[in-house]
Amino acid sequence: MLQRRSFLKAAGVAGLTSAAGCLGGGGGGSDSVKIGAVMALSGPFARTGEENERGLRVAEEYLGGEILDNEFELIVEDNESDPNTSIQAARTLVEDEDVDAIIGPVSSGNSIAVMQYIKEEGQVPHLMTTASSVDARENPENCNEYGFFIWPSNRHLAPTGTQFIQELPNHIDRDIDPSRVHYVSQDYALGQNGLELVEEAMSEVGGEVTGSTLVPLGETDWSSYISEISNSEADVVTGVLTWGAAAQLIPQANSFGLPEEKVMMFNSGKPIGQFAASTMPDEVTVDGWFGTHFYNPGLDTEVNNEFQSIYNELDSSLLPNSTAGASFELMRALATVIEDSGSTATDDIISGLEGLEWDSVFGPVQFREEDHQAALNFFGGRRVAGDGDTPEVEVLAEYPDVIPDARCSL
Amino acid sequence: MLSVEGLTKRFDSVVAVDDVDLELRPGEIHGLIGPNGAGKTTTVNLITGELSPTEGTIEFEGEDLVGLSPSTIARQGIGRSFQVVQYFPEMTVRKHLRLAVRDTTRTVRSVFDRDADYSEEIRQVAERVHLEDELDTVARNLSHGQKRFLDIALVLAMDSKVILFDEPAAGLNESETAEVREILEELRGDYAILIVEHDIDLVRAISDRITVLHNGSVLTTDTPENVVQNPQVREVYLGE
Amino acid sequence: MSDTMADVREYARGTARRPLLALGVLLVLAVPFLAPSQADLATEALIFGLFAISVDVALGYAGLLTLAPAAFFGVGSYTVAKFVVDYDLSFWLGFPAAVILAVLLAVAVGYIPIKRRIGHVYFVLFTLAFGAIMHDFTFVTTWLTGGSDGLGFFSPPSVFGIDLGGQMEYYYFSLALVALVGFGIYRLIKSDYGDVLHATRQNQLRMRYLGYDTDRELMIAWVLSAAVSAFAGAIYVGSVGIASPSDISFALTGDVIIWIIVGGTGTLLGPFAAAVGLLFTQELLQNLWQGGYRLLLGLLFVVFVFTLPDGLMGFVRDDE
Repeated sequence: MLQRRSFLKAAGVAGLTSAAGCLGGGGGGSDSVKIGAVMALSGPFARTGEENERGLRVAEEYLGGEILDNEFELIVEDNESDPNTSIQAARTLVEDEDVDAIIGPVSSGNSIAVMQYIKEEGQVPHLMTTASSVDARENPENCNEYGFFIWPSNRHLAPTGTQFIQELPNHIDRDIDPSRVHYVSQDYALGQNGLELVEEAMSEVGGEVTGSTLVPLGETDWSSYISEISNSEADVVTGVLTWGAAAQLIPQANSFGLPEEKVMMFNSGKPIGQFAASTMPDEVTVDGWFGTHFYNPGLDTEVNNEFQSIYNELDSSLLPNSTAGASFELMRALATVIEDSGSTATDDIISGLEGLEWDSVFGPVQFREEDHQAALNFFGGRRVAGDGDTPEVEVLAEYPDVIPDARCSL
Repeated sequence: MLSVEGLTKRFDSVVAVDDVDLELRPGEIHGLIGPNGAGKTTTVNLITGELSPTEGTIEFEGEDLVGLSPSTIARQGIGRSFQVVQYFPEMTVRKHLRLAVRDTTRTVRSVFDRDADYSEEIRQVAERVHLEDELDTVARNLSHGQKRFLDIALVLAMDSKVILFDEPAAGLNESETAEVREILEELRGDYAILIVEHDIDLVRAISDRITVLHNGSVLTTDTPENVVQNPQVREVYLGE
Repeated sequence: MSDTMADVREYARGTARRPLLALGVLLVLAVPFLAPSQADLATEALIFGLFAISVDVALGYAGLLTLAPAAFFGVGSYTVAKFVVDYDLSFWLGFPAAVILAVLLAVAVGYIPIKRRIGHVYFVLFTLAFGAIMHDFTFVTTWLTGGSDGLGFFSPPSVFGIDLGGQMEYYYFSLALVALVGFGIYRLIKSDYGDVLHATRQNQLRMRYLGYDTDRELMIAWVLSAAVSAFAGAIYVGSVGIASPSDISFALTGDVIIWIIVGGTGTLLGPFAAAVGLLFTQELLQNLWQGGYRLLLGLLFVVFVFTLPDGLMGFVRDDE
């Protein structure tokens, strides 16, 4: 199943690179570039991991398989959604494969584990794809010069989402009280941290979080949780969902008629992102689902068009999305920096990334020098039925250049 | 030495053992016979603590045995051999006897004991059951008769005072049965022995006294000659 | 069986053994110098070797079909991690705490099945339920265990001026502990107690009638196995720096059971060697064929169960 697929892919990659004559030693200024990726290909974060990996493949294609005029090698390791395995995978990549940089892993918890390893031992550039917990970026014990974040953190999301909630009454027919929300997420670092930040953000606008529902990872029956949400005092439901959670919550909530009772406004894409749009188009166009996101598929730029075109050629039942976009852009950034400096040395890559401003599928992006986080353009909106099979994005509000204050100085 | 009084065992509505009295004296071989289902093995199981009696007393040298576990009773000095031979297939005869001879309460602590040497006791017991040449044979490779002797040897090695033999000749041919008889005769003076058997000839030949059970109750307890001539006994066994 | 095989066996058992043994010991002591990059792997191999031995005591010797090994291993790793990371207590304190906790759990889980003398199948189910509960508990009670994020991150302390955080230092530390405990178990099994367990496994009835308190003996084996498994887990977490759900997963239980079967149940040395050998094999396979290791384990399991039920040790030794 999943394991076999990764074997076939690894074999495919091996085939690609062995065809070339380039056998560099690996990291630190040698001939051919080696990029390592720690991805969750099995376990609770597998869905996100698969998309991250797909983004890497799109980038490979986009770069024509070459950096610095040589075929580069992309080595992907499965971390099985486990922190220990993540560290082992990172260690294998750095020590045995001698990679020039590491991309991934997927979840916040696993990312912190790898960050610790990189900080103490690995010491190669570490570009994180989808980790959104603030602990990684603000805790001085974690943040280090090697780590870079393209994905928004909960501190990007919470205030933005809260602002959008305050503006919602302007965009919908219902009579809602935007000062009280009920928070829903999954019971791990991402969800727990998100709750704290939404509480903070809400109190800053004079509102409150009336209650929260944290669902264990891997849970498939959300009916009792939906009842809990339904019984909450607030009119608005907010939070952060992983793909797995969204896949369960959205259809089940619809079948219980929850969006008719409450306004469901979630951050980080679902339900207005591409994943939901491709897997359950009819569910997300049900009235009552709103969201904030930073990837607009309708963005008409050269890179976004090419990204989408390549993505659609790959074997995927999904639409081009932010998760794949994140890893795509990280590879691009790496490639750009290496090509510009002509070096794969860790220090050169780091200083290159710190100064890099580029046009990404998310719009213009750069890594802030102080803490290596990225400012992103957000929008709030919903999905509505479009011309074809795919529902379209209706943008209701825009929030450009969102980035929280730096709490970690590098 | 071992006296059983009024021993009764009921399983719901079935009375398997009904008001049985039994007396085992040192130096005596006491036979226990009766047709199938008479309650012989149940009686043995009651004495060894496998089952607990509904009524009655079991005393051994003045101590009450009722309510004690089989391993405790075994340690007190009541040894038993089984109708179906019970042994350790993967272990040698020597290992069997060593386990029987040693102090059974001292298991984990035996790490601290220097390798205690029981080879003398082991050899002696093996000789008594004619297995002295098979000490290093793995038990599963012994013949059926030899396994029986091993079963008996275990009981002897335990230093029991009372031995309960449950069908010791079951499945043996004539010459093996003769061997068993020889072994039992040699044991006579040292123990109080109960032998449950189907083989009437064997029981008659070696017992000092015989108890006949029928439907759970004692028909008679008497010398072999008298038991054989007892009309009730003959009636019960005519159907056999 | 050909003459060549008989010769190989003779060779393995004969006088050639002594120098081979000495060579083996030297190699083990020299690992951090011969292959410094593999010190981590070697440490892991030693620890899992001890883990395999501990489970073999229960599974191979006492005949207790347990699906709980990883549960106890995880208790070890999480207790130490919890002490150090959340409670700011000493790493050394974590060890006895882990063992005590494992003992308590083992008594709680094993008391009824062993006292009641329920059959193998039910013992498996009991331990399966226990293992499942421990695993899910770890995932769900994120406030206690960190859930899917694991519980970390820490470095082992210094002792006598030696910083155990270094690969090489921790290797020798683990080697010392594994050798100590492993030797202790070896002595125990070589003593009469080993025979008591062995016999009890073959015929519990007979043992009872020889005067042995078989319930107690089995309980001791069960608790000892759990304690050493937890101890192994405690050593393990010091080397990785983080306790994760994979430490308490059924995948790990499956691995250790396969090591025992391949190595030879009830031989102690067999499971140890199998654990070490297969871990190194996994490392090799990683680079060639990701995911191949699991497949290999499954294949080995099937092959050994059907053709070599006594494992490699059974193959190497003569029948007694």
